[in-house]
Amino acid sequence: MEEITFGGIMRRLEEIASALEKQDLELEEGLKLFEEGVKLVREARRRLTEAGARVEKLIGSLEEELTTEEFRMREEEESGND
Amino acid sequence: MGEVNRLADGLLQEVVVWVEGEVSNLKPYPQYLFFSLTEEEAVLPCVMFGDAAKEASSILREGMRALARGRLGIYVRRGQYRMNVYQLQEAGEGRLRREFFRLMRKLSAEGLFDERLKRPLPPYPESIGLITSLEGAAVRDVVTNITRRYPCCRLFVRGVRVQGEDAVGDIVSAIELFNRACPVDVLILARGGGSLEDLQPFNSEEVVRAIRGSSIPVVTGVGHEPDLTLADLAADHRASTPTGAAEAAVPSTAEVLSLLKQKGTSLESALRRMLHRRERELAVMGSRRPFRDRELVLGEAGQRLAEGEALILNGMRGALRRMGAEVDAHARTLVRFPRDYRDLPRRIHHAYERLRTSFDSWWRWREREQMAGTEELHMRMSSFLAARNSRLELAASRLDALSPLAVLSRGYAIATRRGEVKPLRDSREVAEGEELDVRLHRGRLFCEVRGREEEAEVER
Repeated sequence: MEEITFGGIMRRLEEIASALEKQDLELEEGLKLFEEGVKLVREARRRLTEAGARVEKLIGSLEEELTTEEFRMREEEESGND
Repeated sequence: MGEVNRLADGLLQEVVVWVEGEVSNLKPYPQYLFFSLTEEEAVLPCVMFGDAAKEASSILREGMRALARGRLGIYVRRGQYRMNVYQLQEAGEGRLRREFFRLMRKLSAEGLFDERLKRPLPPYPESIGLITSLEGAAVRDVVTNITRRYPCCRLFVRGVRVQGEDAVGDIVSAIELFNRACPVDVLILARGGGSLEDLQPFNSEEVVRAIRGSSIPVVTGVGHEPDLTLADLAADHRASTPTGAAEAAVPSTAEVLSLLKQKGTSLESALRRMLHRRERELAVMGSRRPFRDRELVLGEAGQRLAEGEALILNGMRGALRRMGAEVDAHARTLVRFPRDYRDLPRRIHHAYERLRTSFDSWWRWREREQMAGTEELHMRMSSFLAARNSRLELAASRLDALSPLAVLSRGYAIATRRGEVKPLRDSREVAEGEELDVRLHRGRLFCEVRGREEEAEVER
């Protein structure tokens, strides 16, 4: 489930929804699709609600070394809050 | 007087200056050009000669800002102080605006602003690159809005200078940097508001080409609402402010969550529709009643089959209704407590298995009954008849066995007193001389008792 992107999840959900509307769908096949859809909805919710914001600052250049460090806003540094 | 003025003129000629001011009192002549440059309260009279004057007269307009280079001096005949201008160009906003339109026409002719080149932004970006100054409100606006709206994405910030000579190079290499070393899903190029001059780097040809050359789609959020830059025209999506760019780059988590809720509900209803389709199919199967005619022929047995079938069909319909209700209940639960419904698919699957099992056994039962029905009835009828026959025979033989007449046929007789029906059992019941009736197997005798013996004597 980790390797699929969020956009991929949403696209797959579209596919499942339209597949479930097909008239000749076998019941068992339909239940499988439904189950997959429910899992995807849950995974998407988890990603949306569990992830915290990650903001990084890109330092360096292509020629030299390129690294990242945690981004902090100037004002926060000055006021000392957060 | 001429001497003095020439002296002053000689002294002033040492002074060569660049000045910028507003053009007024413009008086063009074939060979020369008079005008004044004014700035607040001060006025500087100017004169131009020859080709420079001809060239300048095509640019100069009353009220425009001009940048002039020239030598100070005095018009000796009138003792008038003035600047002898030999280089002049449009200054400030006007020049920038002219340059802006020139470049816009050029790049537009090349097709760099073509709508067909614009790529759609990914609806759910995993990562975002932000190119902006680390100082000022723009970086704060974008970072705050993105982390608030859509905290599940990664945001990389690349600090650049956004005005001054080095800004263009910084911006171009930042776009390159992301494309080559940090492949984010979307780039935001942002800057707070400023004068046309401040925004100049975003109107540069280099930045426009870098945006169009980026393989990552670019969103611009430069300046305030009315500011439009060439970078905006080249970008895949133009927002009017940094905040607007952040909102364009990421969806709002709340909206995506409600979309997911919708998707969950539509999965439920699609499943429900699928189950109902199956229910209708079963109903159609059930309404084809192959027993209908046989009921007439077989009477009670056929009736019994039909009733069994109806019971099973009703049972199945009930099971389907319960499944439907269960799905409905879960759909409602899903809306309120999405976590509670992880069991639902399994439970529906079980319900379906139960239904299928009962349907299969019903079908087998039906086939078996259909074949066995006639035979069974036949067997039942013949065994009933056979049983009744043998019962009759048995009853008849019992009846025979119990009849006293049967005893007489074996040689016994029944004796009664004359006129009575009670058979005599004991010799002491009668006296000598009494008259008796004796009944034989065939016929009767009328007798008189001559003598008698008691039991003991008989036994002996």
